[in-house]
Amino acid sequence: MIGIKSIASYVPDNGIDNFAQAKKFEETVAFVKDKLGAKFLPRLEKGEETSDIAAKAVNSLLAKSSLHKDDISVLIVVTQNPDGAGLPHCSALVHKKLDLPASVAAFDVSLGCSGYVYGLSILEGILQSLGGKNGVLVTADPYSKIVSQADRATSMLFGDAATATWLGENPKWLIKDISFGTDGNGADFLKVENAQLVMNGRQVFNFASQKVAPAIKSLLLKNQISEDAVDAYVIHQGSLAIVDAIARKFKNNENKFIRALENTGNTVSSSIPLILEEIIIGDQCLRLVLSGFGVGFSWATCILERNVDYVD
Amino acid sequence: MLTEASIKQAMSDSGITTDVASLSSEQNFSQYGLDSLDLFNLFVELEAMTGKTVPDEDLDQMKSIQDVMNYFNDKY
Repeated sequence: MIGIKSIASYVPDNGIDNFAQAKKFEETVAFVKDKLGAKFLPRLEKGEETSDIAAKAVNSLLAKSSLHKDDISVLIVVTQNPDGAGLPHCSALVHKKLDLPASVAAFDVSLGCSGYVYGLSILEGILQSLGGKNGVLVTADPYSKIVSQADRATSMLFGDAATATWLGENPKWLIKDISFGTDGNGADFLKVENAQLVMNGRQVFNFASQKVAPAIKSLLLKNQISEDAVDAYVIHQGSLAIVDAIARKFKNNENKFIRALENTGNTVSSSIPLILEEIIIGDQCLRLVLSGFGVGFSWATCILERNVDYVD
Repeated sequence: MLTEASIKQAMSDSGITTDVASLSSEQNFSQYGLDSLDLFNLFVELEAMTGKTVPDEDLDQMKSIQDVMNYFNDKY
């Protein structure tokens, strides 16, 4: 059985005080605290590239777990902001920086905030076809590369971070079921134009508040799991307002929705694994729902269950 | 048909924490502290209630509860 064994991350110390930034746009402290949810937005250190933060996250994983470089057979990097123009693929650069074996399959996945959940499924499938072994799923999508500091709609939202998730046999967590969704009609509402991110905040908000809750409820129903029987809902941290809007659709379970973007902001595909690493992975939760959603529009939902047969 | 009461109910349902009951229908949303994300939430709720879609360009027409009533009830 393939599943999640360990998660690590890299978050730059460098960053932006979001209260100061909000003042520039004449927004209130309450708006930052209660709606955006992020008081600090990490930013790439000077000279740091996407492949650098990806490699740092993998090095952190290697340092905290029993995974060795020579044991890695697959490396996936989820990003839409790779080094340069994306050629060569970011995962090849990470492969080089980590000095990984030539036998590694390395490729990028071009997805935004739904990318972690998609990536789990892709990596699980490849590892199963290989008959086990070990793979690393990296998320590294530094939006600071494309966000204009003058743009009020995006500059107060996004933070830079990278994560690395080890998938392999004898996992702590198993993917019980997963579902996906795409609405290409949303493509124009979050995109890069003239090298800058452009967002229609209302349409992105509408998409998230209308599509995510039904996707979660449908997957739970299919698996005959009640909303009460989920220990925590770990959804993409688009903004505090988005998390709250989705949580409100789950009466009696609103408080099970994790809110954790105070020191990171919206880190795109890294927001879910950052929570899993920091809050969930070590505690007593037995069942989690993950949901990533964003650019595309694209969304993906999965149920994770603690592996009762895990041997430490 | 949207009424003042149903709009206030939508405001409560959409997580707006202001004392909705005490609001005047003529008062500007910004006067009682509603921000852009509150309005996103409110219009998601109103669209769900009415089954109507409000185009982005029409949002600026609605700055108070009365404006919202006028918009929905005149248009639909």
